[in-house]
Amino acid sequence: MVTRISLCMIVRNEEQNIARCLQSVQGFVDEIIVIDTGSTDKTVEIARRFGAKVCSFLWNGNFSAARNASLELAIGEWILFLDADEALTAGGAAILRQVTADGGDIEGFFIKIINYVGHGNDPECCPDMVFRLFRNRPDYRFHDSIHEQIIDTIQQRNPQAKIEVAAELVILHYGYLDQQIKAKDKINRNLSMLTQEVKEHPESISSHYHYGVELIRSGQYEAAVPEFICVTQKLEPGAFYLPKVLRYLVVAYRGAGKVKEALATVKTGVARFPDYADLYYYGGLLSYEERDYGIAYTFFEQCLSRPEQPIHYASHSGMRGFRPCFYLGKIAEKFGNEEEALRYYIQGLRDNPSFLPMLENITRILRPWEDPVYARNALEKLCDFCSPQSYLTMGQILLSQGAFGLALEYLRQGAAEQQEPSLAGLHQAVCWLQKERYLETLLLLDLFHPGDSLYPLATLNKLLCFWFQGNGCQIRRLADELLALELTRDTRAVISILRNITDKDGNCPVKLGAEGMNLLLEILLRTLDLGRWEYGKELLKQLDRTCLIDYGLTVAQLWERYGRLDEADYYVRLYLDAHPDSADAHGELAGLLRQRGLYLESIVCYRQAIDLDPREPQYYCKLIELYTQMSRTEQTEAVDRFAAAVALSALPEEAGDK
Amino acid sequence: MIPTISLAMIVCNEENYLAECLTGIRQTVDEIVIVDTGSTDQTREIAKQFTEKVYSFSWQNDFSAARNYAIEQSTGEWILSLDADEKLQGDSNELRSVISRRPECAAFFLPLHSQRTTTAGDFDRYAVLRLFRNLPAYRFAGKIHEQVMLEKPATVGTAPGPVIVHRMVLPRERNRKRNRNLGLLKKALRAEPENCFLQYYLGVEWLGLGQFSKALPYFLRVCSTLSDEHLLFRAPAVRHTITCLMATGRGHDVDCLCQEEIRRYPAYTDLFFDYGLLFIITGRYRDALQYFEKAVESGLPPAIFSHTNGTESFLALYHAGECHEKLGEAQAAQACYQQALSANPAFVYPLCRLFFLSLTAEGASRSFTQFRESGYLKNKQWSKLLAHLFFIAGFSRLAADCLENHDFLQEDDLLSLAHYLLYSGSGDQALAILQRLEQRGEVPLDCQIDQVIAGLVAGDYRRARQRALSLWRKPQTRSAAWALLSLISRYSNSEFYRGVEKSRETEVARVLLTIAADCLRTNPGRDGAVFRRLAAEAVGFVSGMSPAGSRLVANFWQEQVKDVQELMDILYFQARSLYV
Repeated sequence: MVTRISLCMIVRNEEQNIARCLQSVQGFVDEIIVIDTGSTDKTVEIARRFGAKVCSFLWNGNFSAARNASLELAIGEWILFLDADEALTAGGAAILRQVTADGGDIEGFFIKIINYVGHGNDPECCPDMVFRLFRNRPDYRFHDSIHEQIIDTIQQRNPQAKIEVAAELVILHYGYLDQQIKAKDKINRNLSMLTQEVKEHPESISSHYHYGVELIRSGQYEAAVPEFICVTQKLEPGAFYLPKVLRYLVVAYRGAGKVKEALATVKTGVARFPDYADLYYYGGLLSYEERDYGIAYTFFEQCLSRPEQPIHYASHSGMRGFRPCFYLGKIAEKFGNEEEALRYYIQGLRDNPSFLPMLENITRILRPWEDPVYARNALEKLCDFCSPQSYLTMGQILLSQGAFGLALEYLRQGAAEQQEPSLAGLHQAVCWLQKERYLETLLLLDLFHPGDSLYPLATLNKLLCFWFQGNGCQIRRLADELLALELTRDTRAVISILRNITDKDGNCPVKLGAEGMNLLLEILLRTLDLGRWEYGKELLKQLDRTCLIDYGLTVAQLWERYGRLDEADYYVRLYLDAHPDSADAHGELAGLLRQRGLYLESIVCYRQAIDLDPREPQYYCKLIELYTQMSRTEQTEAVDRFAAAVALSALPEEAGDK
Repeated sequence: MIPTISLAMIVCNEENYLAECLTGIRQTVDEIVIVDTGSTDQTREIAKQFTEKVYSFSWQNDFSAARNYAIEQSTGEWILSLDADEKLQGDSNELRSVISRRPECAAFFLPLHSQRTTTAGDFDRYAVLRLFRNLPAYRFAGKIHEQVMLEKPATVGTAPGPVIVHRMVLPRERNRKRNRNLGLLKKALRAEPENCFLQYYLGVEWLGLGQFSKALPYFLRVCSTLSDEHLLFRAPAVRHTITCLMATGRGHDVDCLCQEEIRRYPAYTDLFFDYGLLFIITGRYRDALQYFEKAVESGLPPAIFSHTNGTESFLALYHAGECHEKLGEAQAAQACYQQALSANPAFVYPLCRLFFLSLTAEGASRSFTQFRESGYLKNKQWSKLLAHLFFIAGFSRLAADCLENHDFLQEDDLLSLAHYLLYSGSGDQALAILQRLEQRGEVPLDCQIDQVIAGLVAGDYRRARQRALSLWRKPQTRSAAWALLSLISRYSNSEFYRGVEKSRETEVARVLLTIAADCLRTNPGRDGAVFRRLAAEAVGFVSGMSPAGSRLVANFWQEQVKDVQELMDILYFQARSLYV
């Protein structure tokens, strides 16, 4: 027997989406029924173009009523329900008819849905299960005003009804993408409807559930907690979405800052669903945030060893892959184990190549500013640069880490000839400048004109270009031009500093806010990158002492990065005087002392850092490193000192082997 | 009617303990009978101060013969059998009320507490048959590990007290006895190869000598042969079997045995404890925890079961804390340790763990405040331990603070206090204490070393050198003196011989590296640079001394690595693979 399939939808102002949806099922369904609840755009027109039977429905705030109206019109034996912001995958549509024809005594199917969440360019996939394909029977009707349910009705009317999962059918849902949510103010609409729903039907488990989800989506975690608690209490123990509810409860607790409760929920959750990766992930995340790195490590490792997740877990993408890998890498870094960190990051990058924080961390470990050749070789082995965009992305990461030379190579590969003003062009200019190739720099910066949004930044770089060349006249001209633009107070202050340095008049020290300091520190990094120590000192001399004290640690780290230990030492001590309880500063000072060969002082300093922040692993690890080095040095030096004692010369190699 | 009791005791060279034993028991018994089997010391004279009835009996390598001889001299209706190194604990009337409460009984088991170490509460409990009617048929049998043979059917009661306390046996003394016992037992077993009791005792002797694989077959045989009628032997045999299997790495067999025996004796707390320990060894902390909790829940086992005190409370709680730590549950661990500590304040290991948990969570200063505010410093033993822990963790000032304002400080404690003060930059105070102590008499080497260091820190090189030279005059402290003189000369940039006699190298290195470690513990303060310089010179001298010295220095730094790793284990045990 031939089974006919009716696609039912309700829509309003979906001209952006509906074509995608209808295209995906065209030729695979026998009729299309579209209930329009008051579109003012081209939705109806587009639907008609696809041969849909379109009816207008006077909107009464009730989705179920609208949906049921569409069911009244359907003549097929099977109903497929889709929203306009959804679409079937091509493979799914093709087997739709086969699934229904083989239906036998099945009354309905769960279908896998992939929710795209987040930004358009880099969405996350959250799979879930929805009940969207069922037999067309007069007593199967929707209830609840939103997140309309029909499966309850079917099971109520026909307790023996056989429901299965149509594993090969997949719906793609675009409605949770940020831009879509924004466009439709979906959350608020949903929230107000659900509030109403929960009030009217306090006994309905599903309305509490959906209300809770919507609350989380809108960031109201604390309010979401009781909703999910309510659901877990009412839910039958075998309910297939219990795992999901537990995960939401953990998320709600975490968002509400109730760490203890969240972890307790994770604990009960994994006891019941020991395979559920998402619970371990949140357990890891919570422990990581509590700085219980040992426990976090165990949780994340467990994520990686979970088996394939059943569909009803609605496991988020990467829960057994890049997400735990990212944190495992970070933990390994905290323990000073860069090798292991790289292993995790690379494993994670393979799982999700577009998760850029992973690539950033990998790049940082490779220290491309120190050894660009090595970094380049490693990156080429790791990444498949298949598009200009991928080169640009890599270039920008390198630029942000101050690896200017290598950044330039990638940026040029991504966008070779710059004719138009662009961000990529500006970035290239910065890199040329750091190579002291002033002509190339200026040619690129000349592309920018007043009125371009990047013009001030381009001009500032021009100014730097002339500063490094000692062209005071040009500096003053550009500075004055910049000061005439509408810029923030801090930015103007920084520009004034650059202008004043060349004037060499006695200037009063400038006090900068966070924004200004960030800009100034970036400029400092670039002067140091060029090895212009005196320029750097001049720059800092212009600053008010309070700024230097507050940012002393960062300034010290910059000097240290370029091997200027004396300056670093000066600034870290300046900072320490004002912040004697800073573990970071003690750690930094300890590192400096070690580099200068003052090992015993370094030991004492690390010990202090440990005491000030005993939960931070890095100081312990650095102390171990130091002791190990001292032990090795002792063995190596013993060979020279006691040259006669031949037997001893075997020692260092032995130690090296270990 | 009040029954009369005779104490029947055999002795041989017990002058050290006999008086204490008899003084305690004099009021309890009606008659004291002492049979001396050949003392060459003051034993007989001491005995005579307590009783007329002191007899000689020539030793025939047969304990039973001697004991029975003592019984034969006794006139009381009941016999109490004790050894000279035992004492009766508790009310002097308890013995009589035990007897009169159960008139149907012909004999009683009394609890015996055998001290394992000098720590209070660290003892094993056994039930021993030491109180019985003075009837001709009731006599000891067995040449060694003699037992009273009762005529059947005799009713034997189990009394909760009084407790017989067995003094801790010093290792040397014990080993001397062991060799004697082994010989006797082997001989006896040749005569009666199937005697389970002899097998049991032979196992115990081998176990005591640490020969686990030799002991094991005896215990296994006892376990499989004896029925529950002989629980007195079977119960400890089971636990000894577990010990032997564990020591020989046969964890799987322990697992099977524990399962089997727990099913057989569901009230035998010690088995839960042993099973928990097995799980700790195999790294299954969650399972271990469950068994330690069970042990606490089940409480003291019935009196007839031999029992290690504390397996039902502080020992189990301590190990439960350890499991929680390994599982990353610091708070739960803390709670366990606190309970363990209040269950037995003399068992201080939990305090060590509490210290490190607190140190790694809060840092030293806040830990100190917490310990002080929770009253830990009011307990003498605890405050001394905490002081020591703060010192080795590198916080000499806090270590000294733990001991300051205490009136209970004895000489040893004052030495420690001076040491802590010296390395926290209060050299003057340290010197004052040390000089006071010195006026009272001879002070130990460490104290004199501290005085030299105090001199150096104060810049008084002349006095430091004089003191070091006075150490040089005594042969036994000559190596330490050499170490100190080298340190002084390096520190004051003056001439000294570089070389060290080979035979002295180890001791010189030990002294100097100990000083270096203590100097690096100091919190940086006014004298920070001084101490670091001292450490540098001390290490520098050792590493320049000889290849061996250099090796010792390399090891010294390696040791420091281990110390740091141990601290990390407390916090990040689960992520150990990342930092080891």
